Amino acid sequence: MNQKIKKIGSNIGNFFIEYKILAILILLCVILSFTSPIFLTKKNLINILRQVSITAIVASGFTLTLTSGSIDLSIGAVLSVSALICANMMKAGIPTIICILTALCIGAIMGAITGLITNSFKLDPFIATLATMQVYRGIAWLYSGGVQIFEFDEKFLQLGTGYWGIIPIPVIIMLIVAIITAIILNKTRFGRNVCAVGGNRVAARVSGINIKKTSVMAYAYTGMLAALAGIVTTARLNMARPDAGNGIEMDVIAAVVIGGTSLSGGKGTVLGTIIGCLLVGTINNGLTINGVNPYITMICKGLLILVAVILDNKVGAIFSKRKKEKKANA
Amino acid sequence: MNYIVEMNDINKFFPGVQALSNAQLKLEKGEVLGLIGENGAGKSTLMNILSGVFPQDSGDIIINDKKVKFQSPNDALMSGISMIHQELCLVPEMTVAENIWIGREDKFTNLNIINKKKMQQAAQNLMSKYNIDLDCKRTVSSLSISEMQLVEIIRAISFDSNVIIMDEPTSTLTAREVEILFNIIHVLKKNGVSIIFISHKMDELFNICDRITVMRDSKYIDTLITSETNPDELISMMVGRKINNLFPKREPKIGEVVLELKSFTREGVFDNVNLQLHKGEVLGISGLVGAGRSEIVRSLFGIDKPTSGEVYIDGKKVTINSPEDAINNGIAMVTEDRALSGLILGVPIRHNITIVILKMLCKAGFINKKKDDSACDEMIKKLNIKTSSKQQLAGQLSGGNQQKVVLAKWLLRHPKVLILDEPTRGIDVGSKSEIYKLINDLANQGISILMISSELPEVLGMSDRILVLREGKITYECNRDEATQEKIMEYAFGN
Repeated sequence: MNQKIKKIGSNIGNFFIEYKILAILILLCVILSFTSPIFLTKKNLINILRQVSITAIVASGFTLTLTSGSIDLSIGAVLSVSALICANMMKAGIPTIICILTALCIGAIMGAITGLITNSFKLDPFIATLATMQVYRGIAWLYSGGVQIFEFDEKFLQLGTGYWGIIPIPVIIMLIVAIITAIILNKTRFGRNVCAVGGNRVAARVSGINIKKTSVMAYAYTGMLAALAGIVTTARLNMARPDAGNGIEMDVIAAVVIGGTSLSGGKGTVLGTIIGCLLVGTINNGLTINGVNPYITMICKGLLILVAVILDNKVGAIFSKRKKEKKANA
Repeated sequence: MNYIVEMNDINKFFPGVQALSNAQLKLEKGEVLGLIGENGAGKSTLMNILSGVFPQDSGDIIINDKKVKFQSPNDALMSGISMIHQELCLVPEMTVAENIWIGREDKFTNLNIINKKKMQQAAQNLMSKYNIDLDCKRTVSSLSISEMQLVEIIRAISFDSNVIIMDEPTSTLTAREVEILFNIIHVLKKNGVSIIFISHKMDELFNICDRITVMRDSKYIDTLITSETNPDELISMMVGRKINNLFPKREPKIGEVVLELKSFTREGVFDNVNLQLHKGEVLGISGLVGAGRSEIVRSLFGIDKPTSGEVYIDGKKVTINSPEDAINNGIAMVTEDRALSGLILGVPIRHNITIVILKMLCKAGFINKKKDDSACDEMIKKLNIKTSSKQQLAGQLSGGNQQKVVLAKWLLRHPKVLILDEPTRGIDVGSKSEIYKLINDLANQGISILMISSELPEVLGMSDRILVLREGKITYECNRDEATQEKIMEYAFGN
């Protein structure tokens, strides 16, 4: 009996080591529940979930691309362009579902183009996607003429403002996207190939993996999810705007890195990304309801990333060293 | 007996493993002491302690009859101990001279400005002193691996240490360069420098070492005078059991031509290579590093593009533009550098093992976990891969086990042709013999093996036929009975 308890204890322990930020998140929630009576209310918690949902949708895709060894900074711009196209199509009277599917395809194609350029010319993804980000953003402004698009169909708005029981639809979408991405990463051949390409590109190639195909598909997936996020944003705000998604890449990178996905590729965790989003969202929320100056919130977000990465390095190093020696002894 | 270095009762414990148990080492002044033991025996840990990388838990280090305590590698350097590591630690973008003096540029500074010419000259002088023909103005990235190793060696010597620890210094050197190294060691000996020489290569140990210390399983076993012992005795001390016949007896059943290269050329690298590989045959390819051997197989496998020439599998001409094509034509390749191009170190072993056949384990893109598991388990068992679980990261395995993982991944694909590029580099004797037996079994099963090796005993012991390559051309071909070390060397060097 004692053995069993010990084993469960150590499994829980290992889980928290893997997902230390979950422990930090829980700790944070406990602290915040003392500093403000509003924090632990159903309304507030659901608010947090809804606020992070759009970032989380994009971040799920970003997790996949980062694991494949590529960073994609153009996600915000793709979000905007796809949302604008969808909006214009709906305004033109085309059935909503077709508009949505088209927007998703456009997002995927934009991502794929970025991926093709990066791979074909063997460019550094950071610089290449910085460039495409500019291009796509320019296209968003050009296409929209700088004008926002309003007033959409009631049914469409449900995507952003509706509920399923007490849970907001954007949160449902976030969860579905996260689960699908996690399944892709962990249970499919494509997911394994993504890890291989990100972990060691040369070895992956020698093992017969088509590097270009894998990488471009990862980019396309991210693009598609960016488009989905754009659609949900439009539905939530009842407005499509050319500057939508501006700066979202910062929040996404923060969430993914805090969540534990390696910046160098090869290792990715969607669960970690979601927890990372929640952590950032909780801090935002906590500081706001406690009346803290929003500029201080900015500083806190930055510090959070630093702390998370430092802790990750130090704790991770100790544990990997221990594991190494343990295995060496085995 | 006056020892320059004495290590007594050294214990070192890492969480989960006792790395050293009452280990000891005694180094006489002006001697070359060989240090041997299987991977995991404790040699590297002991040397890391001696060179100041980390401290021992208990036990003494006595240098020149004085007890010392090292807090950092710098302390060890100050005490006259320097070390040449197995992994090259050079800055690729800097020149040879800059690398040699890295951290000590103040020797050549005037008012904080480095006199590059002086630095360059000092480096070149060192090179000439030891008869090495290497231009110190060259950037390290332009050097071959063996040239980089020579730079490392010169750098260690430039500290004017009394004790130099050399960890597998010849693993990437050609025979000629090994000779240069041995000459350097002789000069150092004459000047009173003591050397600890870690190596897996018996012929070198017996060539250069005065005494040899054997370690096994974190313990000190014994020290023998080289002239009073023999390789078999040492090997049995290292593994704790007798290993007869490192190379299994070949009873080749050789069939039709399976692979043929015609006029295979890559401009500037290899020229007009014609070779045939038969079913069930082990074809050894010998030659100096840089002769073009790896380059030929890389082009064959689709990693690089050849300029011209044809490849035939089972008599049919095939086009290979990528590793994918090669694999689909039944070719598998274990590359020269497993860390660089053979394994994905940061992911679990299981991912690495099934990476090539993954498609066959999937349905509609989803991995069938049961099939995945059983394929991994089968290979771990078959190749005797020592690991605590399939989830263990590939980077945490020893060299020998890593190589087995690479082999496992290719064997799952049931290749017709298996290319092995330096299959036992950096691997301990126990694993080596296992791999040789495996190669033999595979050949007996009808798999055709193309083996590139720089270890002559290995080429002579394993191959049915041998090709020698020099400067991109095949210069000699013979059967195993006709082959001798001298003949191969002769054609590898050329007249």
